[in-house]
Amino acid sequence: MFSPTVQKLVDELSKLPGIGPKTAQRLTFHLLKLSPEDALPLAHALIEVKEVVRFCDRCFNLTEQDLCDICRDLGRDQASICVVEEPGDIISIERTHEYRGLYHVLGGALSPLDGVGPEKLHLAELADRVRDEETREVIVATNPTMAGEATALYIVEELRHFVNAGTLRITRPAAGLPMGGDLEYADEVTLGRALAGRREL
Amino acid sequence: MFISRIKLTNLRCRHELEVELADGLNILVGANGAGKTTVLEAASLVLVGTPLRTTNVKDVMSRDRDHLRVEVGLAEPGAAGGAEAAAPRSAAIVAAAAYSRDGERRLTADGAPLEDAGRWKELLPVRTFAPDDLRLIKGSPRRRREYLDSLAARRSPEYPGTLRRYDEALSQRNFLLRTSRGGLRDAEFEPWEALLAQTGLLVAGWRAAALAGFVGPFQRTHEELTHEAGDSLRLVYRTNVSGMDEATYRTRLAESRQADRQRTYTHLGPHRDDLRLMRAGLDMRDCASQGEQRTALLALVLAEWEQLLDGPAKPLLLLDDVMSELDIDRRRRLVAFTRRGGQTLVTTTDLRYFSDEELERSRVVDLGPAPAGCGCDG
Repeated sequence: MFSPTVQKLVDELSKLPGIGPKTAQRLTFHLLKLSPEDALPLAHALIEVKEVVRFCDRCFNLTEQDLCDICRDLGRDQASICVVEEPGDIISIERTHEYRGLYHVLGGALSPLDGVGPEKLHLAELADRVRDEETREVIVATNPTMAGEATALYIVEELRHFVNAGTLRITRPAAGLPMGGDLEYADEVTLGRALAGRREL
Repeated sequence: MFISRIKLTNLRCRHELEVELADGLNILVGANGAGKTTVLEAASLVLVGTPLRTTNVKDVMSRDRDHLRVEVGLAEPGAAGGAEAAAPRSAAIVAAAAYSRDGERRLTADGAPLEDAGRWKELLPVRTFAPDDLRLIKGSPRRRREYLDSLAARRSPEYPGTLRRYDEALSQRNFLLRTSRGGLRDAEFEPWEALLAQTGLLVAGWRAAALAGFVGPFQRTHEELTHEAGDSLRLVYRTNVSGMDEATYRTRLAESRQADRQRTYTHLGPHRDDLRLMRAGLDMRDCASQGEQRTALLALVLAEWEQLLDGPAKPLLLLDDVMSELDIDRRRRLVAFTRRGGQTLVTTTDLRYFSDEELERSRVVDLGPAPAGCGCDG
């Protein structure tokens, strides 16, 4: 239907998450209408991001160097690792300004149905880090989905000998109520967990 | 809410049919094949999303047509409720369902598309009794688990979410069983088994609690309907995880990995639960007559319907051809039941099953003889 070159762009765009063939076509026509000055910066940005951005050697966060900004920051607590599924999760936690330790990005969560076994995630590297960096605390901040919970349980087993040796504690963020929220509107699961995880005043 | 009007196109042997209904008891009368059940079918298709006795919509589409459509007008009970308010009223909401023979489905509320029938379940929950449909008693345990699920979900708002989590952990473990060639790696199974134990015990616990709260109402309903001592009829919850704690559950799962892999399926857990109707220690599936099973099924439907009556949305009760099954005393008692609230649609071939007083207080919809050239039942 389209010329091969145009069709190729449509095909490539429709591989992106959330983009179906219709949207891919619309985006393609939009790009075709743009002047080269307006369209090429997108192409360059794409090339640059793939050439320059890579994963941190230590924690698998996104970085443009061997180590990410957080790993290079010696002012951060070097004995604490917060484990997350994706690099985007780091940004969410950093925004809280509540955490000053290091991170470890797994690259997903365990889900046999999606072909994700332990070997597809950076789990072995986590155990190595805990051993080599003499980590005192691991905070498992995987998502509260079944896959995230299973991954958390897997990590606990993998690191159990450090805990048994008394050198490590493993924690999981409490599930609670949103600030400024109204109890009346909280769903039962959230409210139930918030009650189960209540603390002294 | 109640159904004030049903308009249907190409459903079973009726190509066109429109009926006005009232709140309270509606008696649909007509010859065999006149379309009495078709009216119930229409209500079920729109409000539940499935036909009465089959899951395949094509089974109820007129044979020579390529689409069917049902429109149901829902109204709030007005001040002048009951059969006297027979004057056509404007519906508050029009719920519609259209199906094509190629399997296309379109559900709408006042013309706006709907994902599924979930919205109607909140506004007007439906409970159905059809005497041929003894699947709840005689069929596979899946239906009885669904029945348990609906009891448990009303009791514990957390239940449906927990059941979904359980099902997800179960699919993950079953997938591991099917795909792990060679050795089964403990570390891969353990997280899912821990989650199965955690959520599985919650599911079983909620089901047991929901049933414990339901046994009394069920026995009472059965007694009221039959005037027989109901204590001999018991609802029993069967689960293969009864009495287990999480640690035992996990150990049992770990021990059964090899055996489960042979059968590529997890055998321990509430996905294998069942609900038994027992009388004098015997399963009613094996020892009761058709009539006894039907009465027990009617009591199950009525007891659940009665619990819904106390809820925020008054339920709709669909009774298909139940009168011919019951003796005169039981008919009187059943009609008295329906007076407790909500709207009831009952089909019958013969108005003599009802007393004059009952007919007077009901809306009678006469569907007349069967349309020409129709060989089907309903």
